Amino acid sequence: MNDDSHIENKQDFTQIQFLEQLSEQEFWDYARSQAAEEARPQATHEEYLECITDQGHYLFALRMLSEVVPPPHKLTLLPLCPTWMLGITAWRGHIIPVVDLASYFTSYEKNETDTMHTQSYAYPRSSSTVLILDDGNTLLGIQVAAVGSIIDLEQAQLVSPEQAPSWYPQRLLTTLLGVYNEALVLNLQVLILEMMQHIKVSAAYE
Amino acid sequence: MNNENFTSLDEFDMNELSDEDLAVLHAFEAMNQWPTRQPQAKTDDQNQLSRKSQTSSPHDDEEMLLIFTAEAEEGITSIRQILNQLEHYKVEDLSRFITLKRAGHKLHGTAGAVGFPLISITASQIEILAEEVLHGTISPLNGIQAISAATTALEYCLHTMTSEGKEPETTSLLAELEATYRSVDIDLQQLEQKRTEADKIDLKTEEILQKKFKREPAPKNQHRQESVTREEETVAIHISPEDLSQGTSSIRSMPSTRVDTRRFEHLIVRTEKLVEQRAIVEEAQAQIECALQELYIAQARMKHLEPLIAKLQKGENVALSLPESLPASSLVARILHESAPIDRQRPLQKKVNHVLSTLQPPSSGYANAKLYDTLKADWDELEIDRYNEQDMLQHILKDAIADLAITTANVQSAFTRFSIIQQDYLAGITHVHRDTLLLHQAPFKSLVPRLERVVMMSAPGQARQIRFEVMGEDTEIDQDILDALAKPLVQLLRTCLTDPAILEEVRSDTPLKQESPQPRIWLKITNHGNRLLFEIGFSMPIQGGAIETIRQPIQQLHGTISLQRNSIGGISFFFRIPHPHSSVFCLLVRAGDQHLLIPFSQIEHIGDEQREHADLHYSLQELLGFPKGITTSHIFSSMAPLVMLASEDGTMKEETIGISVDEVLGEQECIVKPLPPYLQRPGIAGTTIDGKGRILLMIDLFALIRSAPQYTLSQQTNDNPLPQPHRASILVTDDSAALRHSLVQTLQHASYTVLEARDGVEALEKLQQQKPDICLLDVEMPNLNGYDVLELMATDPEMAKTKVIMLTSRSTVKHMQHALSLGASAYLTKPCSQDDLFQTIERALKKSIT
Repeated sequence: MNDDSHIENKQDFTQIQFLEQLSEQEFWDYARSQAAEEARPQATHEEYLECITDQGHYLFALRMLSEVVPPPHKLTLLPLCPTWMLGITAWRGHIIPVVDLASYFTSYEKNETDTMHTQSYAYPRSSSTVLILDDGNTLLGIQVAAVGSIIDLEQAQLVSPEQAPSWYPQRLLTTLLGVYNEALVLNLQVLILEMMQHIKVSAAYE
Repeated sequence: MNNENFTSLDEFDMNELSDEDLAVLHAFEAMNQWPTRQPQAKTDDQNQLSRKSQTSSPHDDEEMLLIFTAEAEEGITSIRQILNQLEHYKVEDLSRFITLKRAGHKLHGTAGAVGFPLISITASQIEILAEEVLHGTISPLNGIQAISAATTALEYCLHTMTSEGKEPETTSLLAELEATYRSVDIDLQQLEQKRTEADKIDLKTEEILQKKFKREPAPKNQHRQESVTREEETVAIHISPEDLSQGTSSIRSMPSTRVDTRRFEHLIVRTEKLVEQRAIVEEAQAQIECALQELYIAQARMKHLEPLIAKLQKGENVALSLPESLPASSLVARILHESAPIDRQRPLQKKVNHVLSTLQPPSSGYANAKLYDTLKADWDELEIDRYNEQDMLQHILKDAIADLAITTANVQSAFTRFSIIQQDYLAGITHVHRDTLLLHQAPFKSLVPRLERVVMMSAPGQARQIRFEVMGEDTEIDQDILDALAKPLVQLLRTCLTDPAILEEVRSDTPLKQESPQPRIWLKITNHGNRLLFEIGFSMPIQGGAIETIRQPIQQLHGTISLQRNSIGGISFFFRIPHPHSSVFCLLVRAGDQHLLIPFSQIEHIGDEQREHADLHYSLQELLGFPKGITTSHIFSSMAPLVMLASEDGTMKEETIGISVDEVLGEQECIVKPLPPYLQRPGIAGTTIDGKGRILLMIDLFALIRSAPQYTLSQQTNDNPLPQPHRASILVTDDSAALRHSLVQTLQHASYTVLEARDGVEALEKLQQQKPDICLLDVEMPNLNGYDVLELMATDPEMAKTKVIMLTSRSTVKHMQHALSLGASAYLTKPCSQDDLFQTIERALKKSIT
């Protein structure tokens, strides 16, 4: 019982931390997306694309995936960006940032998300795949090592985010919907918002 | 100092008092505690600052009195001069009352602060009277008489002060003055009552605000929002009917564009050429299709031969015929097809004869000629029996290969022609796009007459001829930007030229027997790639408050404002505004593995690191902060290209700047688009996409160098490497020399390092160069007022680190709120007690540390 309440408190704390980082516009966008989420009849099952990184497996909701772009990728470096951001690319007339998912979580693990000029830059891999995510407001490219199969999951099949592997940063539990068979089911709305927030403010740290 | 007549604030019903009364009372109460004038033993041992301040010597007091007397004399003389001018020449010129108001305000604040209440009250009355004349409540004639009486009183006070060392008796002089006012139908008490009602201070609210402000300042964002709202109000107030009737109307109405007829006709010619080119492109495309068809047929033949060869290898009979489905475009195919019904017992001889008779070199082209030669050379009628189906197949294969080579060459040739035509066509499209963009642009000179009118109609412009010069007036600017710029430029000129006294200051600065130089205002426009730079320069001092009116419109254009003292001692404002979707000629360079664009407008010339000398030398890759990956610069360091920068504003450069790159790849004309807001970075002017679908960043080298703090740090010479104990530094910014002197003395005695600034511009210079911990800032100042300084400080992260304490005679909540919304840390009204001053400074210093 005590453990449960401790976990709940921890979750609330990370949620507050997350909300505090948002700008006013982003906060209301997030609030609207949450409201829409609640208003929508909860689907009992959803299709996910399995993605593989060095750390482990992730599941991305198919409804938020615009395209899976095979290599080669034409990336351009942008100054004053987080170390896990690979650069920018042109996709269907839009200029979008591309980030390396594994580096993002590693940097959190090392607690260096705000240090933009550390030596451990993420590099684009020649054989990697880029997923184009669209949350309705923002487009974001995410580099993963490879993609696997499509899985149809029932909500009930997911276990609590607290069951995430130990390497997963505890501060980022809000970016998880749950865990399925050791694969992390990502809350893409929150993940995109978090990443965009870091990308936006990274120039201000200078 | 005789303060017995004044009771403590607690004994009054505060609500019955005007704000001015309260200010005066506060001043007197504060003066009771002023140790330099009324020394008293300090009971609070911990108040070291106050104790230290008691050490000020009588010599200091005398010196401060001398400075104040000189300043008051100057102020009173200035008021008298204006009154004389109004009485004798231009009684209808209301703008002179602005100067009177300003002079009254300044003297009121300074005298109050240094402890001369009668001068302070009388000067305050001049300020009120001048303001009421401007509002139309008092007629100018009566106003002049009343102000003249007040000025006489001031002169008398000053005389008594210098001869007897103290002010005359307060009550009788003020009573006499009031009687004089009443004789010209001016009831000063009633006027003050009206002012109080109009701008009534809710004391409780003020106290709450003060407390809240002292304990927990509102968050920065909140300040910003309030600032925006307030600014909107300010802008709204300043919109004149002229503005509404002129340029701004086009912004508000349906979006429309004024089009230069010549440009429109030019565009039509271009589009017609494009239409003509379409036929040529289509023809080239048809040729490719035809050649491709031939190629497919040749491929099909080759494919058909494959099973025949296989059959032959197995010893089976081969029917040398081609399927009917194949078209008859291939000569050999047709031959074979026609010869098919011939008796199969003597097939070869007949076929070969037929082939030889059919092939007539050189009429049938290269393939036929080759086949003819081959058959002729190999064919020996005596050895006819030795030829079999295999030989024939070999010939056909050779023929097919030759046919394939020809058709492939035809395809290549057609494609080359198509590529050339397509390039022409694409170039035509680019021209049309550029011309279309040009349609939306207009030269800056279309705005010049309006600006000239503003200068001519201004008070200083009417008093004396001002030279107005425009440089770069032919610069093409997007019409939306031009329209949006019109209002802030007009506002800037109007605000800066509100006060006719600026010309007086020019005259007073000029040595005797020398004619004062003609005042100049210049506007210089330069196009730096996709960025426009505007310099609005003034050769004379200007009225403060301009930044407040122009900040928002410039920010809406994603531009920045900066200012600096120009070479002739005046002030120059600089607007840097992005000019998106413009066509820019750029140098394509490589830094590491990145290809980047540098606008030619920023480049003076390109050399190499061995031969060129640059005072400041940067590496582009390091400036951008890109990881040091693949680079070849270290291998051929002596040959590394060095891009020498042109001057940013077109003037002579003090230092040469060189940027080393790894390779110069060529030049490119590109249409530059801005990055989305969340990806915008200092020094990145925009992007373009190259032919390979890769994004190229266009670099603004000046902005990039400015935004690289690590470089400025490394260039600083360390003259004093020994660690020094940190003494908090305070910048005192006030146009009153007496007040500055008094504050400097007080703060120096309290062991602070003290800097001085006479106006807002000097304050900004000191803030940038010396980076003080605290800035004591007045509001009413020439060139840039206190609000302007706050606005500009907020735009610079380095300057924003300095905590600002407002120290002004403006005592209303409205002013306090405005200053806080602009980022001030504390607000003190003149005069304030030393204890209050030191406590506020200490609080601000603690905040600065945390």
